[in-house]
Amino acid sequence: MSSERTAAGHEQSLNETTARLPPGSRFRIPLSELKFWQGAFGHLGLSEAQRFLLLALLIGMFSGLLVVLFHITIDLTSWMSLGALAGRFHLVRLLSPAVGAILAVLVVRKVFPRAKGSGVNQTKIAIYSSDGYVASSTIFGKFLACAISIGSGNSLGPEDPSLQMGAGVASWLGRLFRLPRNSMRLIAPVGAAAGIAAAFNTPITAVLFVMEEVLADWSATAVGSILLAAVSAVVTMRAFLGNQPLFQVPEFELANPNELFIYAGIGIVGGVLSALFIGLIERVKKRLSGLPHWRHYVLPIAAGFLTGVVGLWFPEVMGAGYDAVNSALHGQFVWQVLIYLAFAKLIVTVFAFTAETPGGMFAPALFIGGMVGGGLGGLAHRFWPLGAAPAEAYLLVGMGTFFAGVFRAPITSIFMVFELSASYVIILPVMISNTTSYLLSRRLHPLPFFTMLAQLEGVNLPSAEEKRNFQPLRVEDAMRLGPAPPGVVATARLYRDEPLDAALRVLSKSHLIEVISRLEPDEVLGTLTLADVHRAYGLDPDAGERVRSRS
Amino acid sequence: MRFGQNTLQATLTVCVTLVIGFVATGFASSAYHRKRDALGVQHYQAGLALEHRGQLEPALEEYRQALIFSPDKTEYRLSLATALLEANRLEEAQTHLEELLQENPTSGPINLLLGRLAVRQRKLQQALEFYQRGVYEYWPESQLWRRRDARWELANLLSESGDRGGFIGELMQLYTNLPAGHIPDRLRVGFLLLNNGATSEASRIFQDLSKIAPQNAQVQRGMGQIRFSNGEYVSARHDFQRALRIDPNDRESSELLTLTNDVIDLDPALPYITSAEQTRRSRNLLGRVVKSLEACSPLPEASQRVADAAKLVSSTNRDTDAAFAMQQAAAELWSHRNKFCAKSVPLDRALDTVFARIGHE
Repeated sequence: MSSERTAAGHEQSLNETTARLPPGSRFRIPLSELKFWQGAFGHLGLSEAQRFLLLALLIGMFSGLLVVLFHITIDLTSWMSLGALAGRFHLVRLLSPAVGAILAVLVVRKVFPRAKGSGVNQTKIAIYSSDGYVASSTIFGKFLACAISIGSGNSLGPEDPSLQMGAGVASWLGRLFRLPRNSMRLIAPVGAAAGIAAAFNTPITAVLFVMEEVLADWSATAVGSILLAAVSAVVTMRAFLGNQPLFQVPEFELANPNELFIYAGIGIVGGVLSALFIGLIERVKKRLSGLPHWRHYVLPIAAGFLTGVVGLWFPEVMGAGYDAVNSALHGQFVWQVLIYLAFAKLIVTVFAFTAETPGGMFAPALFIGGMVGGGLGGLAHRFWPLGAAPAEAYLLVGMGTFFAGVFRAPITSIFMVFELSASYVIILPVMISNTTSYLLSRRLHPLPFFTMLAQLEGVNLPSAEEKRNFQPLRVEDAMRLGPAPPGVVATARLYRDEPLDAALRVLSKSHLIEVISRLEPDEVLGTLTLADVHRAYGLDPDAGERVRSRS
Repeated sequence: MRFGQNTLQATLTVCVTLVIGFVATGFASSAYHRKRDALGVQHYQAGLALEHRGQLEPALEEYRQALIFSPDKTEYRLSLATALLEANRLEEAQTHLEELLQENPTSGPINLLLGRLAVRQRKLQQALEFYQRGVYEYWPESQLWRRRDARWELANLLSESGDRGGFIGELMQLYTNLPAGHIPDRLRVGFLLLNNGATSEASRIFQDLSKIAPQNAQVQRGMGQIRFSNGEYVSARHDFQRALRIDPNDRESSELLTLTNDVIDLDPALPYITSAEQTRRSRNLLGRVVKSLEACSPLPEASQRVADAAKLVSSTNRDTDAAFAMQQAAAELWSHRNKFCAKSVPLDRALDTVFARIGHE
């Protein structure tokens, strides 16, 4: 009985400690701890991990189907609102985004209120504060509102909603199979990866984005499932929509090694512009938040109308804008037009997004970055004395540059361009440009885009950026040098480089840990107690003892 | 037990939903693709119609729209590239064509368009390479006739670049690949060879043609021209007369007949003529040279020679020496005329032919 009490005391102490750990670290749940789906396929003799992979496969297929339907609905809406009819009547093109925006807002505000907000942040909230729960109504709400909004020409993209819909599908399946809480938390990012993979048609990018931005954790347990879900979603999507990549990318060439200077220049411009972009959205959002309730209805109409007005001169900025990026990739715009398009898109996107018109930010970010890169590249092609490739090559790199600067996902941005271009030559320019942009944007505006949005909504979510700034404590940071005091027997051993979290787990069963070297396992470098761990975390060293004595 | 039942229900629900999802998405995507393709075709047809009416800019927009709906359609992209080429938007056309070539490097039509593009960009060597590929690479069955166009264009380019051998070779290839009943193109090849001095090749073609289409005035004229250039003036005269009998309105045959008659009347070096006839022709020749010089107000030092020649023409001396003297005087004066009057007086083709022949002999 006493030993049970001691164990309970340890557990409580452990919980208290982990509650004060940096965000993200308490969600590392080993797959071996998953106890779900006991009945289903049990007779097939599948292990827990295999069942989880099977579920990931299903999530990918469902998400793929959903994204296909989403894509079709957006296109159909677009053909109806901006197709041949709008070509003949400018009034239709002028009013279509405003009408679409108010309809989408009504869907979100009156019918599916859970579908509000950024898909990435809502998914993160689901993972970190509601055990991966995403209501099914969110899927329908996002689908309908974003299809209307994007299809009618509002300058927003379908990837962010797809991500949330994927997480919603995963959550629905999880609930259907009555998964326990810890599994639900793991399954939502799997769905998110599937959703974004199908929307982008780039499985690697999707996996990296989810790891980098949604989970903010590279050591995620569910990485196998995330990969499988992303692949199965893309395969499903391609089965219905074909193998067409998102962009028809021409062959990339690095005409001259001196061009790397131009790419660095694009990185600088991209970094500054992305910081300005985040800053602008932050300021406008703050200002608008002071307006009365009617702003939720009036602002989207105004933003839609502005998009319509700009669309009369630059129809390319309407909707996600992928067709325009494709046209630009085929050299259909001169560099001046590319710059105009970038700024026009930037303005209409800032208005549409801050007005809370449903839709995502990925497509506009790619558009803006691409056009800026292409414009600068075109300028360099013309005036750079050492010879430069045509604008199209820079356009592709520019997309990644702006993406890296805004979303602070440098690895994702590099692989995204690599995956889109299928060119090995592009890696070096992309790395130079994206890293420059990422570092500069980080310096000019420390808050990443999604973190900024979350903070404006009063939510504090973990981010990869925080992780990058946070140095996790290791066993060696807390240990006392030298062997264990006489009379005290250590019942557990850890290596000096293991995370302090691991020590906490061990300390729930053992009072003293011996810290050993990996090279000389017999050599004891030091010892570790719960008090040492508390001290390393900057907590009261006696807290554990008090809890223990109380229990 | 309860857990197991729930899971079974869930599994069934998932399976049924998945099947329904796949079927529904299948129907939706199939309808979507049909609609997409139809919109692509609609824009493409509109583009073709606009291009046909000469409205290039709206046609380009329609082609672009068509490509948005069906980005894989080579046909649409090719039409867009062709229209861009017509609109002189060479860089854009190049981007599209290079992409098309990347996807389909053995396509004749794409190589042909790249050849045309290179000609516009004044990249002659590149143009020749593309044209050659355009001619020898794959052409769809329905567009085989366009391979001929490519060959014509290649032949013209070779001619412009001064590659006479290549030009003649290409024309002969073209001739070999022409359909049997295609007389106009065969004639065109024959006359092009003739005009470029490939008389023996042209002769082969016109001999073939005279068997296939003996009642064609142009064939007879071609035969006449070959004989004329071979110096067989009498046979040529017969051919031109035959051509005129078939088509009395054939002006070229008529002019060539006049020329041939003039040459016969002037050429003292033709075989099988009597010495009297030789003298008569020599006189005619000198007389005509003097006449042509009078028209161009010769230099003072030549005036005396012209006067002497005029006297020689009017003399009644009929011996061989006189004939030779007249020929010599005519040749000198002709060379003088070519030196000082070539620009001011139109060329007398009959005299030119006769002196070329005399000089050659």
